[in-house]
Amino acid sequence: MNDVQPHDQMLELVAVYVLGALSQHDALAVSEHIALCPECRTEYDALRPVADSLGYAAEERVDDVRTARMRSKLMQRVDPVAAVRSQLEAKPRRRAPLWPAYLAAAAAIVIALINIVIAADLR
Amino acid sequence: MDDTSGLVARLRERDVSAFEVLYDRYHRLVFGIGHRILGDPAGAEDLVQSVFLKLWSAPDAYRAGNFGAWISRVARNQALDVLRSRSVRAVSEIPADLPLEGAVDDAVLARIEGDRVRDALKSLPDEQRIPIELGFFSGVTHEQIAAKLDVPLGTIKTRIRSGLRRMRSDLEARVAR
Repeated sequence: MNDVQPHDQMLELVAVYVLGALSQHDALAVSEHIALCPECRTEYDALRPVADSLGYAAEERVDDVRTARMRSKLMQRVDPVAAVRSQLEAKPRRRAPLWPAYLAAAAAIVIALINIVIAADLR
Repeated sequence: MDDTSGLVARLRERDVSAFEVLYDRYHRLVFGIGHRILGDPAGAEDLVQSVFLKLWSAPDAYRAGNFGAWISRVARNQALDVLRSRSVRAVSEIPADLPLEGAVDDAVLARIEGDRVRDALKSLPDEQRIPIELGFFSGVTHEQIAAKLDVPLGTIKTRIRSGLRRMRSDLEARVAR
């Protein structure tokens, strides 16, 4: 049961207004009233910071890949020259040639085969 | 002049490094609001682009007060614009944007953190928390909240006011600790 006085109803509308849940028409009427009514202005000043803080309840951790992607896209618009420069700097260096690794692997195989042959001869 | 105000002052001088610091500090907040309102991460990413490009192109839009509160409002309003563009609802059923005029300087807001707000919101009884969350994050009017929850309109208004007042007391107590 909501047995509230007329001005309390206005104070409740002020709360709905700071939350941003009034239609455009009602919001205009309440904002005009707040400008003229000290009691409603006090209520507005007390509740608006609370409504302003609600966005923080949605703040979430953003993974590094997404953060970097959004940042890079944004910086391409904000400072295109710097964005290109940082992309160039971020490009991976040319890989070192793989042939020494192949050579080492081949040598290991040859040594293993020689060991097998020697072992077979000794039997 | 606090640190954030100093960064915004540098932004007005087209200082890219100040912009990057603001991005690093606030992109999670904007992304979270977008994700919550739009329901998809791709939409939230687009919102981050849109909000920060607006900040870069028109830094004077922020005048004074708590920067996080201001950018939250910008993010919420822009996310609701996207929702409206997807919606077939009549204009009269769509809530007004939150005003962006000077964000309030307030002891509660001055030391606000995500965890504190989440805890204060969670500590509300569901009958107060749910209408507040619907009002802020869903882009619906209090009439629609009342209809959705099948609760009289007057009761919804009372619960929203009681919940916000209770959150204020709770946040004041948490900030004072």
